[in-house]
Amino acid sequence: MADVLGSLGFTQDLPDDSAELDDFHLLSNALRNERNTQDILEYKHDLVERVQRRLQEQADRVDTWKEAGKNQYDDVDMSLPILCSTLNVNRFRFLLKAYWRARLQKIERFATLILDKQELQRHCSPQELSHCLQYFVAVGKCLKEVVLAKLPEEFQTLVQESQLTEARDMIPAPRLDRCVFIKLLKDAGHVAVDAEGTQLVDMKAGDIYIIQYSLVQRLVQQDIAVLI
Amino acid sequence: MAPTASLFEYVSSKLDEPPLTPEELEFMAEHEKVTIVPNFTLNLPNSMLTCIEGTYGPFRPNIPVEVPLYLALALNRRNKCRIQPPGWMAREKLKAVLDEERTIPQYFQPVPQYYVETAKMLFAEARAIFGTNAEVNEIMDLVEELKKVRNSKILDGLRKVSGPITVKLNNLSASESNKIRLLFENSLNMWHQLSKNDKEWQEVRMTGTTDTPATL
Repeated sequence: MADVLGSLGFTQDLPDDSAELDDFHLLSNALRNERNTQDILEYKHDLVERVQRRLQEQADRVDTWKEAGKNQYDDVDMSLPILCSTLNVNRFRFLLKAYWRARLQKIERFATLILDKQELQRHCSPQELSHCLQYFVAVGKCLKEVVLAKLPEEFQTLVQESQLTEARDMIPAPRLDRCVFIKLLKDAGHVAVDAEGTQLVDMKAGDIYIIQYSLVQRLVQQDIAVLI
Repeated sequence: MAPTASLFEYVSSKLDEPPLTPEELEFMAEHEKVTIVPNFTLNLPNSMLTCIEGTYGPFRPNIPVEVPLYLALALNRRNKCRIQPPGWMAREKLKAVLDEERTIPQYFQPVPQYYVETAKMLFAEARAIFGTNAEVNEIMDLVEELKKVRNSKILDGLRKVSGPITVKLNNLSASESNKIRLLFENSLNMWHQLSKNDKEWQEVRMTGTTDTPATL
């Protein structure tokens, strides 16, 4: 399955206009998407890796400049490059952490759902998955000790309302029918704007809509649109 | 169907808060590009500054160069550069936009996405770039007026919402969408829920069963 997904990713070439967006905008768009919907979106492996690598390079550069400033007693003044680069590094660190935090908050909230559904696990990074599992075990144990152990036996499970029902009906799911503010990054063609699919709207790059998330989920996942 | 409330969700859910805070919007606005005129060179190859998202420069005295706003403000604080006012903040430009905004009630005029934040930061830290005190005040008034006109347009638009619809709001700026987000989204959510209930109720009436459908 992973192979299929991988080859699909390769055939989809990056369009030209997304080249204008630098990594800051890509990452802040990712953060906006995470904050604005409850949907568990795909982890941006490539983007995060690239930013982390450059972040490290930049931090190393600042360190060498600082070292050079200590050792040589000549007139080379590196204070300005150090200032600018430090600002740059700190801002990216903040952004990256905000992104991770936004994701972890959602992953904790929907931990049971993620552990229940294979396809959602593919949207998370390995670290996020292990956190999800640990969180579930820890909080589940706590909840069992504090509350569930004191209930009648058939109500003691975490994911079912009672043991009499077969389905796991106590798993919280993201509400995808909430309205969101969305901005188109590229032309998206005709998109249905009501649940029946009778009304179509031609969405152009730059347009802003307030619309139910489930109708534009595909656009957000393919980075055609960003939630603002 | 609303999902069953689970202990898990109860533990980790927070109160509804705005997805993005104004401070975070300001943070993003600080990456908008402005033009500065530096009065220094960097001790780096070609006087270029490599940043994580790209390269800026070359920095040479009296040669204009485009940098993110936060760099411009940091350099300005140290008297290392002169910031050039952004094009849209010129007096004539603002007046023209304001006139259009007043005369055409159906549309919003295109303004930079972070115009509120950018203007606020420039007025707070670099008033001098707009000229004399009187000139600064005039531009501040124009921006303030623009904000008011747009705001009243938004409120008019809100009053017209009377059903589960998809709303198109082109050229809405970041702070404006943040301001109306909770009100707008939640009222539309409520309309959608009501129409769904209504539909279920109609269906039940068609089939003739007497059960009342699920309410909110």
